[in-house]
Amino acid sequence: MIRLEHVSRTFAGTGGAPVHAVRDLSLEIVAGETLALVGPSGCGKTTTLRLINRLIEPSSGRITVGGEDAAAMDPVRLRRRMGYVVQSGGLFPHLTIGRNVGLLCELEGWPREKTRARVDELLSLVHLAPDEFRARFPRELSGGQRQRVGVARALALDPEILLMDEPFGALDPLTRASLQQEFVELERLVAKTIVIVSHDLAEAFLLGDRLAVLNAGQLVQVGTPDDVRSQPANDWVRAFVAGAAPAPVGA
Amino acid sequence: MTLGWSRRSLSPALRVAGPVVLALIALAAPSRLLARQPDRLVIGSKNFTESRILGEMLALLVEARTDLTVEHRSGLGGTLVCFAALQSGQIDLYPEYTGTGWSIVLKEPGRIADPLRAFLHVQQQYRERYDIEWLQPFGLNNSYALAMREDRAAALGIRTISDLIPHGADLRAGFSIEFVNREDGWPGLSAFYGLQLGDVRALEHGLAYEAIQNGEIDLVDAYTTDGKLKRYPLRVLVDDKGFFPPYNAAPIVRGETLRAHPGLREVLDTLAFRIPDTTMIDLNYQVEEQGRGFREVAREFLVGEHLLDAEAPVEPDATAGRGSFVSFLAGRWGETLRLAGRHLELTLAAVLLAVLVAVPLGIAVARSHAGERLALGTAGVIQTIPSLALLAFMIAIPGLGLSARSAIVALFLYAVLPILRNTHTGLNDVDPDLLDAAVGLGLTPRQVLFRVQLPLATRTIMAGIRTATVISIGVATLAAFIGAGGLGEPIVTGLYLNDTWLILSGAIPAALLALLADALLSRVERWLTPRGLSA
Repeated sequence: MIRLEHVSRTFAGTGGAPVHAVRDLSLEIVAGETLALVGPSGCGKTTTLRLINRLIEPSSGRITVGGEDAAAMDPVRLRRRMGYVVQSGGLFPHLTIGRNVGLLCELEGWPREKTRARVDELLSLVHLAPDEFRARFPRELSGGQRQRVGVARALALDPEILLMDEPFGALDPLTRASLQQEFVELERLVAKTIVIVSHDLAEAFLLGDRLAVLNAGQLVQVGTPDDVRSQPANDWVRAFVAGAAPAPVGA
Repeated sequence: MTLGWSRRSLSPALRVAGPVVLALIALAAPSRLLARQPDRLVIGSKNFTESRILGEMLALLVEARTDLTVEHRSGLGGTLVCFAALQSGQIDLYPEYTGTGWSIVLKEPGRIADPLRAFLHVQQQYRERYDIEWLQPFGLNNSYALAMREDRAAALGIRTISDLIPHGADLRAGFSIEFVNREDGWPGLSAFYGLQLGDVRALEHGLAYEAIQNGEIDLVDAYTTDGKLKRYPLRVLVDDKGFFPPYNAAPIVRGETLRAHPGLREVLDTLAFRIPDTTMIDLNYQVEEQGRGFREVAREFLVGEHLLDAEAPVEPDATAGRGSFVSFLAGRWGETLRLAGRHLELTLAAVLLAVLVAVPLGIAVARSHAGERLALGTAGVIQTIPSLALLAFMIAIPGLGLSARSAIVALFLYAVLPILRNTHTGLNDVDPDLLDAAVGLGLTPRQVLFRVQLPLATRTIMAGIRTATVISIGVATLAAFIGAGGLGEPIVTGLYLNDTWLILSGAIPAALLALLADALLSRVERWLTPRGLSA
């Protein structure tokens, strides 16, 4: 579904020295699976996610989506094939919940009725009563509710792929736990290819079919949660999984 | 209106303001004046005390001694307004000054000191060029003068300006700012008489009178018929070498009017040489310092001169109204509304233009640091140019000149910065996470701008527009300096006249206008701000 082939991304660091956010990363994400990108902060997991929807362009290497070279695609079309969920939901505060969720449908020129039906369907999917929430504004919602709306909005155009950047990171532990549970159910319902960035290993183990463990811009291990737990690729992974990862190399 | 007491406001800019004022008058001519009945006589006067008193006298005389119905259009805005109204037949006559006719209307380049020659010249020129007749002068000469504290003058034995010369080094003068700076004021006088003073300070006129009374200064500049000369113990020094040009007042009348009403000239001539300077000082004093009505003062004078029957029925004094500030304001209500309308026109045109330019510009430079610095830098530099300098600069630009266009362009330039800055800030202050979400969801740059950035920046942009509007309303008062009208007119006139009430009659409405505009725009802002944002 999504292939990253020897992808690197460097940024100009302070003092001009190039910083490798991602270095020679190759990874295949299979259709229908949920892949969790994990690692300590600064490991390059968010950069990897943003490379997929071209919010960041690779310095070298190639990314294909469904066999097509992502670099050759219109970035807007590419992104509309991928739902995008960010921390705290990223809802537009000037739009109602209904219009936040239906924004992409609106931009795609859907008839109003169809958009409306889709919005209601999505709100129900994330356990928000459409009649109650449709006309509200984001500031009138709790953090958990906002995050559900964010997920609903990402699903609006029924994309094949869902990219999630720390979707539950800003929530209190109780809300996070319940949302994670709901998300597990949702994964089954929607059957998407999902890439989720998390710094929370427990979350990654819970949600991910496979884990991609990154450290200092490099892929250290890819495997199922069980693989990573039982057969860590090296001592660093072992320590990281044990919750006592040393500081990332070079940090 | 525009030019106030024109002969006092001889700055080059104002001299050229004539055509604009003429055009304005032509446009603003009330229809009821255009449809005049033949047995009706309209008398005009300028917007300062003396002219209005003289106008009242003429009106009372004509009322009492002819069958004509008289209307007194008092307090017209200065020489060019009166003259234009006279030429176009909106008024039949008004009191004018020879020096004013000489310099403002005829624009004679040379100076003249001889009152008789000045009178004969303007009389002949007006007759030939405009078919306007100068009748017999009233007698008064409202010229510039130097005035000295009476006790000090008596002690030093000073009667004339020449008498000052030996004592010059010991004397301190407080002259009006205009007098200090004008070539035909202190610099010219000093050179003409070879007079040096120990200390010359530029003082606001009203303060100068206070200062001379307290003994802080010895000399002030004054008008020779100023009512304040009676209030303060001052000696007006004789202009023994004839530096100051003569400003003899006389009624000037349309030739057509005189031909239509053969007895009129005789009636008007009854005031000839009846009003010497001392009398005029007293009459001005009664109005300005004692708060009496123009008509009342005029009537009392005429009765005292046996020109008017004391028993004649007294008509209500429609023109007095200077009794209290409130009634003064009430009397100017119509005029104030007109000026406020004009003021708003200037402001709205400028702000609208600024919005059309600054918002797109703000959007365009929002992403480019170089563009941002250039645009904001330029607008910032323009902002630091003093308003008057900017207006003066506009006048020099072909196609702008002394017109409302200059004022609008100047106001526009001031309005650009706050709108540009706020557009820029508003767009850049949008939460980067939201922009990231928008782009990540697949919005095009255009959609990001119109669907996310601009709606979220509305409040900030509107705040910039509000600021720009309030600034513009303030700066627009300066438009009067280039004859573009607005509430600055009474302010500018009032400054020349040292007439606080007149200043306030422009300043208060201007301030109210600014508050009102701000309140109104804050409503618009609330209305435009997306509901989800209004907390």
